Amino acid sequence: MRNRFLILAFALMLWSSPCQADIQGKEILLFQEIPRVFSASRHVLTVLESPATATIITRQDIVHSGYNCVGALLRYVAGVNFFQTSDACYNIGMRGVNGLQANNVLILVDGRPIYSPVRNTNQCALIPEVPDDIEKIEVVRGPGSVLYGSNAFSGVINIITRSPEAIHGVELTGSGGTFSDYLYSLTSGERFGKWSVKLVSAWTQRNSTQEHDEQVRGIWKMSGEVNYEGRPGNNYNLSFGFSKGKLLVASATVLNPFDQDGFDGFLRSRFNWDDLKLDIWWRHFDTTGDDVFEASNLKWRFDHIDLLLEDSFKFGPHTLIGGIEGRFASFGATTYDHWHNQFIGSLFAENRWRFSSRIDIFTGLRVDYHTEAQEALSPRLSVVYSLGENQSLRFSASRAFNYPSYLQNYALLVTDHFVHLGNEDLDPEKLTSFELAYQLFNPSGISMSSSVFYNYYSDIIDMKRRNGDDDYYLTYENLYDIYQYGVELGFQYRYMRNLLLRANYSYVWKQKKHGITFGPVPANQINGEIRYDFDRGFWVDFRLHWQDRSDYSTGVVTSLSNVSSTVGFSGQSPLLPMQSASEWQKLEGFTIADLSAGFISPDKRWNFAAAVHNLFHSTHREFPGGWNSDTTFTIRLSVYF
Amino acid sequence: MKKITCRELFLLLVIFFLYQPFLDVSGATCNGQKAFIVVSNHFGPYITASNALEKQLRHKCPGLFVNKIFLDHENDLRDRLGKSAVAVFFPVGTKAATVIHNLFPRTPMVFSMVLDPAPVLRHDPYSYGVVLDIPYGQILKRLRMLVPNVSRIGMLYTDESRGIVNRIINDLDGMDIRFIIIKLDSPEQLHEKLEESFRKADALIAIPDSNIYNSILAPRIIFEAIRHKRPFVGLSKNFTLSGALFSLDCDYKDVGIQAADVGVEILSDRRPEKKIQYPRKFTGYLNMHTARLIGLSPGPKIRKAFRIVAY
Repeated sequence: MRNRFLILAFALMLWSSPCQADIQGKEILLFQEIPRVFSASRHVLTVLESPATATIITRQDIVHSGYNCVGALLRYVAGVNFFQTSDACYNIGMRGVNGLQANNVLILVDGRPIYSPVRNTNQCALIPEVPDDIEKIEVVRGPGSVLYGSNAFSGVINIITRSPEAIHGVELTGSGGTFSDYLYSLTSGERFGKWSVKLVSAWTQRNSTQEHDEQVRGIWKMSGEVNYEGRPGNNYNLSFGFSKGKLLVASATVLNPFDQDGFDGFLRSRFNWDDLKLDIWWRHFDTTGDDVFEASNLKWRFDHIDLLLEDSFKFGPHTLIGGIEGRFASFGATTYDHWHNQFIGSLFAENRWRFSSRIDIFTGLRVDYHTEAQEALSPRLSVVYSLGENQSLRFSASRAFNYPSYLQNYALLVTDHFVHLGNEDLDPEKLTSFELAYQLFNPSGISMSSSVFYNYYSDIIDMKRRNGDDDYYLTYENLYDIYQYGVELGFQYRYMRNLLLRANYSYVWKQKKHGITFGPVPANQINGEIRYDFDRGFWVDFRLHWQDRSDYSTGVVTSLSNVSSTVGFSGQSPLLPMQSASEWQKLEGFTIADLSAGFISPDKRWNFAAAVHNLFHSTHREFPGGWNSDTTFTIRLSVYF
Repeated sequence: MKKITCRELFLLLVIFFLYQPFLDVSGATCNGQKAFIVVSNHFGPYITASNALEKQLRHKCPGLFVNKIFLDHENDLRDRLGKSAVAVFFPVGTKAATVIHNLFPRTPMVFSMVLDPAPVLRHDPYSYGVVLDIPYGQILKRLRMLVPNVSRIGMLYTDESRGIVNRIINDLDGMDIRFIIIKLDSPEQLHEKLEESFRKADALIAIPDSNIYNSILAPRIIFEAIRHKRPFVGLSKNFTLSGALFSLDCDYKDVGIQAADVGVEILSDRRPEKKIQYPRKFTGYLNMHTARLIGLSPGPKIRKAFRIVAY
């Protein structure tokens, strides 16, 4: 019944879109939207010329959504697999590549990765940035290791924050919703001569949908930057940011969701001399948590110093971008054997060769060195052929890799009958990908995109169980090679500036190997959006997401049910359904709809948004651990001084 | 009968002149007359302008019958308006202006929201209007604020915009500018012609030409301009948001008010000073990110002349 409704809704959406706007006078040139020139692949390119498939979530999308957590908007992007693991946390995968810990997508904030290798996951809820501070989010699907290295396995998400000039004042935002979902933020930025300054501060909290009084998120965030412009083309930027507080985390490596309490912060320095960039940052991560199964006070801590030196050159039809990157890491955890130091060094270069007025050829190579996993090579070849003024055809062949996390290298947890061991001899996971894509881009009218891809994964790292005399040993090994293929289709139609229709469809087929651990990924996924901007500043936005049943496999984690019974574990773990499951299981499909409406004052001094998320009150689970979603309502008021 | 003294006469005159702006002097002549606002379609800027136009007409001419319609079909329009004795038409947008001109050639009209009006509209004795064209002298002034030593201005054009190019060259005659005008015969030539223009010119200015500055080719031009570190002046704020260095945008609401003011003069049997008027208010938008990328560092005084946008 639900599926029928969906088919009907999309049929109506497509049917209702007129074919072509009337031919207008020249003033249409003033009203038309111009595609943004973007920089997701370190090059400045238009969407049609990009060597990878990209989607951009704009600031307008963020404001219109009414979300306090902008990550939820990623659910509506083609090819993105978003799943909420707890009331406070979510994981993101792409193109059907999803470990239970979702470590296969590289998430960056202004080019700085937020991946936590001690936990082997992206903890998006901990990024210091707040919705008011985000200019846009670039989602690049497909391997990106040639420029970004490890973890850019199935895609790259780059969150770009606003500059002080763009803020130009003070913005106060208060948002409140059901389940005590509150966000209070202050965003300020201004320029003073050659200096510009930005300061952002926010408090965000939320209670559990199951037990309403229990706070599952309470985080204080702060970030800021000082920018100095020297002679033309040169500037220096010093920035910082941190988040501090507690978060309910659901992870596959422990049996229960647990409260993580701690600090994640950075200090960053950036120099730009024309095309030469020197970027250095220090990140400090220090958290603790209590886990029911291990019944101990767990600690995870690491310090990273990252260095990136990048330059670009032009010679004739070639534009070469290249650089070196290094990471010095010092880390430890109560579940590791002792403190470790690690180094990753990289050399990368990519050339854009304008072969003819119609053909661009991108060739790139990256070489990485890891103290445990040794070398990794990630080449890319991409040929972009312009079919006409607004169409392009692209073929890409590329290789990406994932270095093992600290957890996979160094875990050491010993109980009476159970041993969890890391493996320092792991090789990097590898992905070889081929993609054919077509794009028709006309933001003032119809835009369409389609891509077909084939991925071959080798040396996938997974948990392996070894039976000892009395104990269970769980360790990590490069165990599996699998392949997958998929299709993505996207459609956007803008009618007379006011009406925007979007729809996309993703399909992915993957080889299901016996014993592998795989996060829940649906084979079919459809998203739709209808937005209407009224002329006096009002807007209405309706979004719909449908996904069919998700395959997942807990792999060797299943065997923990035996372990838990052996050691006498009797806690009410939400992961128990997962533990008792056979290897490949399915989560039920579901439909989520969001409806938001709001108003922006004509002088842009204030805006108001109200949103209902999960409008149809779908009670479903997106993660095998058992979190059930609920309908939420939020309102938000922003005032700008 | 008491004579009016000079002092009393002076006081009466002062009172008359003080209150004159509040007296609806045109109301008497507007009474019973009909005006039609014809809007090309539901584009947001058209609606903004037409709402302001309607409000201003109702304010200035309370006795005027004001109707507003959106252009659907030429035949429908003739049926609907054919029997009406319309005093003035207010077409909003090129399409409405063209249709009204063709259907009612002898009825006065005040068009608005038209960019680069066709000669038939410019020279028609019954047509008046407020165009969206920004005076290129203003654009040049802002460009020189940002890049003081700019002296060679590049313009790409096609047959569609040959007339505009000539007008710009005439308008800016005597401003110590050398124009590098390069004709584009097909979109395939864009890359080659851009290379040529960046080689010969210090900056590139967009002109209203739908063959070139459409949403397809414009991003490529912006990209190449940044790559060659050359200032590129866009047609509107949207160009600046996309990466053009700067642009000047009209205030659409004020364009509507301005058109209404012209219409009130016609309804009061006064002849407007100029047949074609330029917008009175415009805003400069500057992309600081692009400014940095092409090696400019505008100081605080210059930045105050613009609204800053960054992408």
